[in-house]
Amino acid sequence: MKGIIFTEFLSLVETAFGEDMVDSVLDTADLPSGGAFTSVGNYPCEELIEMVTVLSNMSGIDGEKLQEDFGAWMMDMFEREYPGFFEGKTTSFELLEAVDREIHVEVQKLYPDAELPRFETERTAPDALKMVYKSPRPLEHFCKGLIRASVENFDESASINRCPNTSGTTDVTFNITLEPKAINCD
Amino acid sequence: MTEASQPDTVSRKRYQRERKAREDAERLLEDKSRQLFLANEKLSSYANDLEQQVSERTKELSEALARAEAAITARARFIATMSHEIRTPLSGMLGIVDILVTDEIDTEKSQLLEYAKASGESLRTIVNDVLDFSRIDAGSMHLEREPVDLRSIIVGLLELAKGQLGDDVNRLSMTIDTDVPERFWGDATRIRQVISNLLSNAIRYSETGPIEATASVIKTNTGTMRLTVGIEDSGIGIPEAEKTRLFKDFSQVQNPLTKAAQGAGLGLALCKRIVEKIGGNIHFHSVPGQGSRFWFEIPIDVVGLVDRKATKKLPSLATSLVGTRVLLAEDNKINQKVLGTFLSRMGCIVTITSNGQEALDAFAVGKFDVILMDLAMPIMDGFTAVKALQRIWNIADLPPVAFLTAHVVQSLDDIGEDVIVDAYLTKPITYNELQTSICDLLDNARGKDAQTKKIWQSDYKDGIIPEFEDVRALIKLISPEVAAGIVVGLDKATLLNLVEDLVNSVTEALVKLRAYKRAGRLDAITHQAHALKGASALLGFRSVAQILSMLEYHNEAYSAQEFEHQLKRLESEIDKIRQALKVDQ
Repeated sequence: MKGIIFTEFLSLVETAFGEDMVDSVLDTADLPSGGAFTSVGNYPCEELIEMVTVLSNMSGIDGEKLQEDFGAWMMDMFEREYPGFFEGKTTSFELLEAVDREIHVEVQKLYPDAELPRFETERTAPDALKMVYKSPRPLEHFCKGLIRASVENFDESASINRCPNTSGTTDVTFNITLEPKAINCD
Repeated sequence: MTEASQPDTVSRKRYQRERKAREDAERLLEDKSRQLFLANEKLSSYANDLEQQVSERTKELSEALARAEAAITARARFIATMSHEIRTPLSGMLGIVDILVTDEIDTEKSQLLEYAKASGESLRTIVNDVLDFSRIDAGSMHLEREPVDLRSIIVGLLELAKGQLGDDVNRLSMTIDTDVPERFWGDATRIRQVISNLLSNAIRYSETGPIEATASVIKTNTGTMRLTVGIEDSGIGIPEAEKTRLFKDFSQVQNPLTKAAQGAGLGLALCKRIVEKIGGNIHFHSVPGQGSRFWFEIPIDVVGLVDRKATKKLPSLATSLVGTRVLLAEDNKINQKVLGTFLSRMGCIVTITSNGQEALDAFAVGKFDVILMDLAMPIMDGFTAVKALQRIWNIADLPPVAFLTAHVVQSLDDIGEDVIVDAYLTKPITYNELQTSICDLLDNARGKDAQTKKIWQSDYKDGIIPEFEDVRALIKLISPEVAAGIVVGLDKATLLNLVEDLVNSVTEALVKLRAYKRAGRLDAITHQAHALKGASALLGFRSVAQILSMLEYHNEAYSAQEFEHQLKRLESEIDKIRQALKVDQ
């Protein structure tokens, strides 16, 4: 997993809980890399999960909630650092649809060895998008955070529901339904 | 103490962790940049290699191409040389076999000799085809530009084909549209070769049923003419599977009518190449079991030097020619006599010379009103003579010049460019044509206000004027338009003398022609046939002239059998004339 995920996680921890929390998490967590993450390195996903678990224990915040917030944080970071991918996109659905079709295509060119998750999308209604997250990594809440942030960043409002998985795989399906703006204004 | 004043303390652990992270990052980046450097180096070496490879390959290819081209040229030249070398002794052999056949009394041996002859003939056909092929491949097949008389070619070929068909001669027919020009520029030998090939295929692949030769022309949008010649049979047709490879080299359609394969399968491929070389296309349509139609279309250029239609329109109106001084250069004695007599009858004062040099010597400014110049003459040809005249004298001082041309003119192309010439008269020249042509020449020279009056109107219609009443049989053999001129232009005694001369000359020539053929002296045959052709045509013996014309142009292509067939026809035509002379006397 790309090092930028780890350095950004530590930035989030530092912003939300302060430097000492960063030190504590790194000291406490069982990290084979020793926690010396750099954005250009690659590290096992387990170390991220371990840090989330440790942070959850220390802060008392639900691990899933932490994952989701981290997802939203990452979406903000992408928008700030890689504005090219957001050009021409006018709705969150357009952006989410572009993840597989455009963004990951470019990422794969830069990092041929990157193991990218799949985000299959389907518009089930004019205001509804079905998105299937396929990844060997258990980061569905992180994924939900990404979706949430993209909806918010386009100044939209939507319900994001995770469907029960009946297929026996690790795939996770999200149903995203836009809510009328009038309600959003309240 | 404010926060800002507190010194930042960094734990040892965090410091070490950050340092390790930095070192990791630096190592990673260094590795990455080394990888990039190596990849870049590899790429540029690929690029260099590629450039070198491309230039090497290009060099190799162009060398290979040059070698291949040289090999093709060498091969074509080799085949051409070999074919030529084979042909010469083969002709000798066939000549000897011919003599042996004639002399052999033993039937069994005669039969064997006939087989040897037939084998030799088919070998010669193959060698000829191969030679033509290699000529086309080597780009050395040169097309002649000569006036082509398609009707005479087709008639001649059908005549020859009759020999192959035996009793079945009625199967052959021809339909030639009246629009097809009497003569057009082209290569008569090649056109004949293509038609002959198509015709012999039609005969070979059909046992019964009609075979028809057709010809028509269409005018294209650009004003040029395209001639279509077709041969249609009702034979076995071509199976679907064979159709695609029909025009390919060395391919042959299985023929259930003949057990053995005939020829090398080059015929149609050769036809296609020849037709394409002429600038045309060859096509076919065939239904198995019902027959085939092959046709080719070629661009043609009508021989329009003498506007025959225009001269024919006004046969009876002409400027008086009495007293017109004509310089005639003509080497053939019979032609001299006939043209001289015609001109005298018109009231012209004729000076006859036998070649260009004599004509040059005889000429002086103001001495002649018209010059009639034969083209092919010994010592100096007509072309050279007229060129010399126009070089020596001021062109404005020269009288109008008309060239007399036989069927084939070697260098008509050049003449048009280098020499100013007023008319071309194509032999055979009838009295009528000669008269109107000279009138036209004089009219043009004198201007429009020239005095014109009616001087001649043919008494000859369907009947015969009294003087010629007792040579009716002979006149009947003479083509009507020539006869019309003869009865006006010649007296009976002169005509009889001329005809007798011709009959004797042709009879002598027949012996010579056979001897030449045996000896393989093709040029001598051409020369002999040419010499007599003009005179025969001038006297209106069209069939005789036609056969001689075929011998002149196509003898090279004739097998001994075909050649003999033509001579037999010639003999029988001459016999008819001889009989007519006897009857009349």
